[in-house]
Amino acid sequence: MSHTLNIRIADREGALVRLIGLVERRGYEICRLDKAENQSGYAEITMHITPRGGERRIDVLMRQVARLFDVHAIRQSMPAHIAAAATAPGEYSCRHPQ
Amino acid sequence: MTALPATLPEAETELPATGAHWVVRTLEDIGVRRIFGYPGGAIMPVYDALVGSKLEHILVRHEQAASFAADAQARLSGKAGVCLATSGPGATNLLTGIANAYLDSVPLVVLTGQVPTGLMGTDAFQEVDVFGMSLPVVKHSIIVRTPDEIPARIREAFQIAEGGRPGPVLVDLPKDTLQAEVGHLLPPQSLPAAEPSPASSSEIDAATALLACAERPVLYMGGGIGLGGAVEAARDFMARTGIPTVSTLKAMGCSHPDAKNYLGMLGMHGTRAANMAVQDSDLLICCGARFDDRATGKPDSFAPNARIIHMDLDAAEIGKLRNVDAGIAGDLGDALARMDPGYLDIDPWRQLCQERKEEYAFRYDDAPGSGIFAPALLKELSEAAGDKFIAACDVGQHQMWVAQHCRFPRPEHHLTSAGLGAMGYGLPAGIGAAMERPDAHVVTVTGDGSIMMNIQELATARRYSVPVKILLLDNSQLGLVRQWQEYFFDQNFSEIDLYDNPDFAEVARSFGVEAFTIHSRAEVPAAIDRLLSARGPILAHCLIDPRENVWPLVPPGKSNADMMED
Repeated sequence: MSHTLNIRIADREGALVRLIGLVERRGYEICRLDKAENQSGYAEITMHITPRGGERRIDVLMRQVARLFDVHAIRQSMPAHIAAAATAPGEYSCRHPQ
Repeated sequence: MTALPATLPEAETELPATGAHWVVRTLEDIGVRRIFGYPGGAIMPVYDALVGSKLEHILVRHEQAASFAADAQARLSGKAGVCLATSGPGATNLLTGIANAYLDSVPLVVLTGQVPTGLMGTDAFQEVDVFGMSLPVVKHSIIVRTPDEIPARIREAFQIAEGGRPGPVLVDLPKDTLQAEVGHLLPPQSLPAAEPSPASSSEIDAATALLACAERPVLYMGGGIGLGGAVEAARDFMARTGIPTVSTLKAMGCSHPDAKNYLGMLGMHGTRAANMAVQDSDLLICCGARFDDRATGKPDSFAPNARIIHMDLDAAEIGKLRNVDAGIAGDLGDALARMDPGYLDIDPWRQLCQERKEEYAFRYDDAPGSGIFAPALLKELSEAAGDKFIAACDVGQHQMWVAQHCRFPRPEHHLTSAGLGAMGYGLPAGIGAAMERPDAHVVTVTGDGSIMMNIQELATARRYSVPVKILLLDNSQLGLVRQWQEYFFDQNFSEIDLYDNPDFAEVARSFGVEAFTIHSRAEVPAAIDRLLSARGPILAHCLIDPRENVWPLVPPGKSNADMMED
């Protein structure tokens, strides 16, 4: 099953390669990636990923991404009919602890 | 953890100074007292600035030792250790230590020299992309691009290394930024709160409800308890609930070793009582551990009938390897204190665990022959040293014997390369620990394989008169590999014979380190006395039976229920 992640990262040296490396290393293939810089020093990353095999939980990957210092927010986007039925992992952020 | 002021070091009245001077000054301002390192081309400006500073620089003889010594200091102090090396080979030699700190969640700030900015990316002399090479094993890393940002980036590195779940942070310092004069100091970024956030009440309530109706609960303690300052809370939880408790390699010392319901280490070389309790449990409370394969054995047969409560400061650990029935992400001490299930009607379960603990307790009095029995030696040594005992282990059979047979009053007294299993850790870690705690009995427990990985550090121990006591258990083999070849590779012994080792006592003496050799069990008491009364570095070379193995043992890929015995 493939997933689409929307990730906001600090747009600084090494942030993108760190993010890509983590996703690959944790067992996912990156099928498509888009980076858009915004006005406030952040970059919005959209990433389509597929697990390489084995059982990998997307919510665990999302929390692993969220704990990167460069990552400000991550959420999973799903088609509306799937999102309505799924237990959505929601949005994680390492920047704003509860 | 070090509280860092949000403001920059005072005034800019002392400007101009070079980036290298600001490296040293920032470390001083943060409160760093000691750094471990080795000079070389790209980092030379920092070494120039070190002269006359308040920092104590310990010159090791291999950069890997700098990272291990800083790691040990960090584990004991709870504050980030600092190591320093030049670009290229200096930086690559640090990588093993960085990985070690990453896998064991140790706060470490790693400063590396780098070729000048204009030469980066050109395959310059002693250029490697250490930022890229270390990405998978750092909590964070930074390339400094201007001298003005040096103080801010170093302060951030400490805050990130020590905050939340600790880990290593690398700061790569191009030579031109070190040599240039600092113009205007840049402020540090705003960072996430350093204090761990408390777990939510709904998570605590869900876990407490599971606990209240469990019949065979087990507390599975991990290294996060010590790292999170939750030792007292965990001991209080054990005392309040009376739940049978097991610990990982990293959590040895979280429980008082004599606690009634404490069953010892679980996993591959765990106690039979611990593994049986976990396998039979109907509720497993994993607290600050990560279901590591050395602890769980075959994962799908680990605690097969247990519901799982997983408590961890790091939310990313929860559900990673085992689905949970209740997850608690947050400060462990706070969460344990808030879990109050009331009276637990589990007396038959406690009694069963207790009976197994007594039935399968290690025995020391029936070892055949008159040779040195390493488990008994280690037990007697740790008992003689008492609460001042700190072990810095290498990796192999001796490491497992230390975990099985030594007593640890606190988790930070057991320094071991748990996640990475890096041979060569013991001697530099012992040096770092003995410098941090000169009042303690710091014993490096090593083997004839492991000590050769960093034996050059005898020179460091001698130079600084470090009171590290080195217990070298010599079986002239790579013992743990031999044990596996014996049982799991049809006795096809391959490249494990170290018959031509040097005379280690002679080697130590040639470094100027006191040393002696013992062969028989009768010599052990005097050897322990001599080790513990030595004031400087000392090495006890103990010849042991090469056929001695570590028992019990869960074969690789098997369930923890399938423990082998001698």
